[in-house]
Amino acid sequence: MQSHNQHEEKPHPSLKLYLGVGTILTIVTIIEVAVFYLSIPGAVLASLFIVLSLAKFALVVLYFMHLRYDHRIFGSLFTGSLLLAMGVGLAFLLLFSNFDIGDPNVSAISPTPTPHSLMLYDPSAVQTVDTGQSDGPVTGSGVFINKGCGGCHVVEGMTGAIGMVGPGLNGLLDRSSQRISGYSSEEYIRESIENPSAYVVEGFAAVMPELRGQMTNEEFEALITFLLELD
Amino acid sequence: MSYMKDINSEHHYTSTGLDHRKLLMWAFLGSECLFFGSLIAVHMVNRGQAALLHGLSPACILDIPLTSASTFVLLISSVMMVMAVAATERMNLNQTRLWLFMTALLGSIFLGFQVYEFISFVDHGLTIRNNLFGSTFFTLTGFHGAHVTIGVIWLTSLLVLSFIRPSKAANPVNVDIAGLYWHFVDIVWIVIFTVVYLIGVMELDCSKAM
Repeated sequence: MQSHNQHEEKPHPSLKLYLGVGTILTIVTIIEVAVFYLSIPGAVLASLFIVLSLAKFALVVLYFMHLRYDHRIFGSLFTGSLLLAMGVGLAFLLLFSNFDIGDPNVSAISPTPTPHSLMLYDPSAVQTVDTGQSDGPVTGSGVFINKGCGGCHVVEGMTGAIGMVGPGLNGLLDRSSQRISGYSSEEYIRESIENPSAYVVEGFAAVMPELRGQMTNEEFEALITFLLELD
Repeated sequence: MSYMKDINSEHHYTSTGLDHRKLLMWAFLGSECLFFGSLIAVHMVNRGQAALLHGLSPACILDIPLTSASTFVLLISSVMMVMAVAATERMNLNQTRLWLFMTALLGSIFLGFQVYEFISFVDHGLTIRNNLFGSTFFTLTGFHGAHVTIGVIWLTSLLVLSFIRPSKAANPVNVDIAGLYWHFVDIVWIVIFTVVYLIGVMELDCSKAM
C-alpha cells in the first residue's frame, strides 16, 4: 500500500464545468420564479417545481460536491440517507396530511381536532367530566366541561376550569361588550367561538381550536347563555 | 510554495483508502437529510391547518421576489465555493483566500435577508409561538439559518487560518470538506425555496391586503 490512494480518485471537474453548472442552476432558478407568476394549474405547477428543484439538487451534489467523481462509498452513504429521509417525510405526509397543500380551509373539512392541539391544547387529553347529563337536558356548564374549555380558561369556583392558556372568563359579559366597537357581548362571544382567530386578546396566543363544528346548535346556544351569565 | 510539502505529508492511510474526514462529513450530511427532511415534512403537514393571519392564510406573508433574490445569492455563493476548492487544487493561495472571502460574504448577505424577513414577519404579527405556520416555519428556516451561520464562521476561520498557517488552510481536503457542508446548506435551501415558498404560496388567494 505504498501508493497514495486519494490520487486514485478521478480528477475533480474543471473550472469551466463548474461555471457551466452554475449558469444552469441560475437559469433554472429564474425559470422557477418566472413560471410562478404564470397562471398554470396547481398540480402541473407543483410537479414542475419538484422536478426542477430535484434537478438543481442533483446538479449541486454531482458536480459541486463532485460526488460523480468521488468514491462510491460517499455516494451510497449520502443517497441511502437521502432516500430514508424522503421515505420518512413521505410517510409523515401520508399519515397526517390530505395533500391539500397550503389550503387554509383544511381544518374546516376535518371534523377531528386539528393539529392546533399538538401545541398547547388537546381536547382528548383534557379530563372530561361525566356530568351525568348525557340523557338529560343540555346545560351550558356541561358543554363547557365536555368540550374541554376548562383546559384553557379559568372559571372561578368551577372544577376543572383551571387552564391558563386563554383568558379567564369571569365577568365576560362586561368585558366582551367593550372589546370591539359595534359588537355586543353576545355577538363578540359567538364570533370568538365560531372563528377563534378573529379577535385574540392581547397577551394570548392564537391557539384556540375551532370547536363550533363539534357542537349541536342547542349545545352552542346553551354555552353562550352560560358564558354570558358568568360573573 | 513551501506549504506544498506539508500538504503531501498529510496523507493518512485508512482501511477504506478514503479520507476519513470526508467520510465523516458525508455521513454527517446523510443524517442532516433526515433532520431537515423531518422539519420540512412537519411544516408541510401543519401549514394548511394554521390559524388565519389577518383573515388570510399565513403563507401569504411570504415574499417571493425578496426570497428569490436571497436564493440567488446563496446559489452564487456555492459557485464561489467551488472556485475556492478549485484554487486550492491549483495550490493558488491568494485565489483560495479571495473565493473563501466571497463565499462567506455572500453567506452573510443571505443571513441579512433572513434577519430582515424574520423581523418583518414578526412586525406583521407572525411569531414562532402564536401560529402553527409560524412555529414550523421559523423552526425550519431558523435551523437552516443557523447552518448558514456556522458555515460562515467555518469559512471565515479558514480564511484567517490561511494567513496564520497557510499549509493548513490551503490543504485541499480542509477546504473541500467545508465546501461539502456549504453546498449541502445550499441544496437544503433549494428544497425549502421550492416546497415552502413557491409551492406554499401558489394558488393561495392573497388578494386582501395584509
